[in-house]
Amino acid sequence: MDMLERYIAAVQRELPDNKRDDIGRELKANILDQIEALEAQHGSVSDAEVATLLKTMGHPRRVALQFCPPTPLVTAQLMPLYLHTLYMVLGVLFVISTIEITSRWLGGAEMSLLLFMKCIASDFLESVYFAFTAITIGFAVMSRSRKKKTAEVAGTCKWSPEKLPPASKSWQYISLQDIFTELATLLALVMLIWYPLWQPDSGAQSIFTDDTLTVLLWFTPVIVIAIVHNLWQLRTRFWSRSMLMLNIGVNTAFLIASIILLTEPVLQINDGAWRDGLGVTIAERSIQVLLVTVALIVAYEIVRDTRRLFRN
Amino acid sequence: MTTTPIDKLKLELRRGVLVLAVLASLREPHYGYSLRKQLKDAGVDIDEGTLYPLIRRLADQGLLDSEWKQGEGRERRYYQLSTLGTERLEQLTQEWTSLNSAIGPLLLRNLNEEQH
Repeated sequence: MDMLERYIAAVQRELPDNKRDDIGRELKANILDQIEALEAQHGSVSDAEVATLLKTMGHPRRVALQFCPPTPLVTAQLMPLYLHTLYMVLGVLFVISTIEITSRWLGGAEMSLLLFMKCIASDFLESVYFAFTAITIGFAVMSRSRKKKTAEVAGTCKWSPEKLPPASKSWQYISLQDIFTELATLLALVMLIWYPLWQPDSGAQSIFTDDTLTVLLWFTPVIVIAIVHNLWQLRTRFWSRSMLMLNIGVNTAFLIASIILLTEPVLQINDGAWRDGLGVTIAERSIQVLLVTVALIVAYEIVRDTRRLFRN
Repeated sequence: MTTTPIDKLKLELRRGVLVLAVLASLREPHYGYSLRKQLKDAGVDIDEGTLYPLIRRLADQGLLDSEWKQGEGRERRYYQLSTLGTERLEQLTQEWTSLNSAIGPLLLRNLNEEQH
């Protein structure tokens, strides 16, 4: 019987305090009934037979889980809202990290291009730890308080079929990831162009040549339109004809700017603004490759959006 | 452990029906082992790991009353349908009968079509 006592104790250790005694007591009574039935069949029961019986019952942890299944931190009803909040907050944090590190870089902090990327990643991760923990704890508390109130999925109580967006193809839905990545890129580009002009006393110098800077300054309104467009996408999350047309316009402007910049030196390498230690040729070639890549991506997007526009 | 797709489907099918079988058996008081034995004799075999937690869950929902009683030298917890449990059993029985009469002909029709 010592084996049975140890088994019950092992199950109880896995149970919450308030249920430990009651479940242990009942489990013991049930197992004793089974042992008694075995004794009635075989006359007496050996330790090996008791061990076999307990093995059939299952590992103590498994038995405890059957009596008290684990409660998820966030309930299934709140999960869609939890994921949405998480993506939104992480997206905003990514944009903030990009702005912060870009401004530190342009403000004269010594860092190479690789270090710049690493700083964005580590700054973002640092904020993510806190945000993830805070959001998860918040939703865990909400899950506990909502548990007995309703089985409705959060945010689905008030709706009407008339207000649903039109049935459409899957591409018409805009993902949060796309919006935030583009937003961070555009904001970083604006800062790159305008920081030395905003902060003339900081000693920061533009990394671009005068001709490139002129092109980029003239190009700024297009970037601003693209940023506003992205913010609007956050609200609608749905491609409409007018949004597609605007995107084609913005991408065409990007394509033209990339082609113009491909014809002239882009970086002002000799005055020390470029500090990543790469050779001048490598840096120039990297920029050329980058511009060609940008041109190809936006050309692809123009073709894609035009086809969508005419098929829609 | 049941892992094959058919085992999973069977498990799913049995899950709801087991509640009905347990509630129906507990019109009379039973302790865990005697309930399991009665169900087994009736052709419904449930393993302990499923049955004992299920009885407790039903009791937590107020569908069963329970009482510790001394018998044959030791204690046992007896369960029996509560008033709420009796009401629920009636509702579930109606649902089961209606489902059974709807699904039965469907299954038979498919069987007959296969034979022809």
